[in-house]
Order: sequence, then C-alpha cells, then structure tokens
Amino acid sequence: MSVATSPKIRQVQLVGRKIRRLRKERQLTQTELSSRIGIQQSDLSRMEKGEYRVSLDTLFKILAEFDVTIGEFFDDVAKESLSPREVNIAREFKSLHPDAQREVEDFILFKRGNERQDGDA
Amino acid sequence: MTIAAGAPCMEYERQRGLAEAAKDAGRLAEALTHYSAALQAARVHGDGELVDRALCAEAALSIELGEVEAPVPDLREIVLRNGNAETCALAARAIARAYELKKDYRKSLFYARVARDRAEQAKSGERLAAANNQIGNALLAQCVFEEAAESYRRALRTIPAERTEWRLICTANLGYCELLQGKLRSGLRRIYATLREARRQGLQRVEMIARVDLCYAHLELRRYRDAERYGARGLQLAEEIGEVDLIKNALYLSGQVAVLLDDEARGREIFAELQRRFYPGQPFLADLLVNVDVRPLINLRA
Repeated sequence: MSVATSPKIRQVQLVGRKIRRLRKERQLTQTELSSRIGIQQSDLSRMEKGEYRVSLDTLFKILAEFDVTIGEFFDDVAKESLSPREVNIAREFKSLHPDAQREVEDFILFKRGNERQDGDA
Repeated sequence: MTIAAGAPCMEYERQRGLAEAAKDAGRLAEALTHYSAALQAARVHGDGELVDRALCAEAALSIELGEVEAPVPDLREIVLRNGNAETCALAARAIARAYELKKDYRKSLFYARVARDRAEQAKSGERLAAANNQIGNALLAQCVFEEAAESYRRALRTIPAERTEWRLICTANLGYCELLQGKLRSGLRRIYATLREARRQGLQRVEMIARVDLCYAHLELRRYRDAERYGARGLQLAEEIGEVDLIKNALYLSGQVAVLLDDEARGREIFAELQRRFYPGQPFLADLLVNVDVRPLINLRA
C-alpha cells in the first residue's frame, strides 16, 4: 500500500535530492560538504533525505557553496511545485460552487482558445 | 592561609547578591563585574567549591554576552574534576549554552544531557529545568520535534514560578515544536498565552518571539491578515531589540505573507530588503522567494 506524501514534505525531499545531485556532480563527500558549510555530516544526510529543516543562513550558505544561482538551484523544485499565488488560486477554485467552477473552466478554455488563435496568426 | 570548605564568605555573598540584582534588572555588564569580584573573593577565601561556583556564574554570563570560546575549557575542567553534582550541572549547562550560541547543536545536546544527569543526582529542580530546556533547544534546532517537545514539557514542570521570562520562552518553544508537528491549534494556544503574559509583564523580548511565531502559525493556518499583523509588530520589536536572527525570520515571513495576500510587489520589496541587508552576495534571493515557498525547509529556531 502506498502512503500519500504531503506536498510540503515532497518539496523538502526535492530540494534534498537537488543538494545530493549537486554535491555528487562536484565529487564532494557528505563529510567534505558538511564541514564546508559548518553542519554535521549526519544532518546533511537527513537534509538530503528531506527530513531536516535549516536556518535561512544555512540554506543560503549551501547555495553559495555550490556556486549556483538560487534560480538555478530551485529550478527543478519550481517546475514541480506550485507557487504560493497558484496555490491560492487553486484553493479559491475549490471553494467555489460547482456551477461557478464550471464557469471558470469554460473561461480557461476560452482564454486558451484565444491564445492558440493568437499563436496561429 | 585557606579557610575550610563551606565556611561563609561575606564578600563573595555580597558581590553575588549585587550581581543577581543587576542581572535581574537587565544590567548585564554590571552584573559581570560583580560576578568577577565574587570569584576573586572566593579565591581569596580559599574555598575550592565556592571558586568553582563563582567561576560557573561568571562564565555563564560571559557566554550570554557573546564570549562563547574562552570560558569553555575552565568549565569543562569543572565537569571532569568536581564531585559536586549541582556545580557540575551548572558548568555543563553553561558549556551547552556556549555550543548552542555557536550553533553546534550536537555538542550542546551532549553537555545538556550531562547537565541533566548531574541535576538529577543533585535533586535540583531549577538545574533540572535548565538542563531540560537546553536539551529541548538542541533537539528543536536539529528537527527532533517530538523529543524536543517532551524536554520542554519536563522543563516546565520544574521551572521556578518566579522565573517568568524563562517559563514563557520555554512555553513558546514548546508551542513552536507543536506547530512543526502539525498540532497547530495547541501550538497557537500556547504561543497566544505566552504573548498575553509577556505583554502583561512588559517582557518585550518574549513578546517579539511570540509575535514572530504567531506570524508563522497564522501563515500555516492560512490566516494571512493575522499573520501580516503579527509579523509587522514582531519585526518592529526585533529591530528595536536588535536580534538579527529574528529580524531575518520576521522579514522572510512578512514577505511570504505579502505574496500569499497577492501583493507580489510588496513581497518582492520585503525580500529585496532581506537580501540587501543580510545576503548581499545572493542576487536572486528576492526572485526565488517570490516564486518558491521555502517555508517547509526553514527552522526558525536553527
């Protein structure tokens, strides 16, 4: 039986996986990276598994260590998760009456049709 | 000539009393001067146990004032050498606090557990509370939320009634643990109680912590207007008090609230301030925070 993972945990795991990938690309062991950013190897291991939260300072120290932009670092995460604004829109949509939801869906289809026509022109 | 251990030393007691009074009034530099004088008096008196107690008190305050390296070797020696359980508990707890301020939470946890064991041997409720509180801090920073919460509960059982500020900070920490465990209502209740009492007693530092925590709690509960209000006042207090970590956290949370209130321009403005003041080498920070909710990655107590 599979257990559903909450979106939040999933996002933490995504970032953890990204840290692991960047570390391996740079051929660093967990011990080497953790000593550079000033945390314990076991904490880095938990962070890579998505079980560990860090301070803002530590999060940004890791990004600085990999010498990647924050945009690049979070690219995978951003692609796979909704922005706060998108989450809000989804929540508002769910709170609407089913008839109103259908109207919104129709409007989205209408807008998508318009965009396709603009693209063809 | 040395005096037999246990004989009273009037000058030591006088200086210690002055130090405690100054510390309670928030005049920490003055308190440190009196603790140093008490240590000198204890040395002149020649009572080794008194010297160790005075050294622990002076070191503990030095650590609070930011001197986290120099006092540790002497304290460690006391832990290894001294047979008095309560003195060992004092020394070990001070070392744990030094490591906490250095954000070395593993070593902090080790010494906090030593302090707890010695406090249990000494049957000292206050020392036990201090040790359990310290264990809670180290576990919370390492994201071991359930055990951290249990340590705070144990601490709350034996914190002396008159130590209001300590009790309230411990309660807020327990509330924050509960928020991170998903027990939002219970966490919220504890932090609201902390805020009410802090305001009643005029404890601004506690009020600041509670308000930033409430901002986070209301964010999690999706009550963004409430989160905005608590975040703004929490930030204002953090700026007044000058607590850098709290300023960073409050700025980050306030920016997140603005984005969730669909005021992206305001959110970007706040994140840009966070970036400009604290992370000047990270030019993409504002863009990232506007687009990705990093809340699940952040521990406000780490």
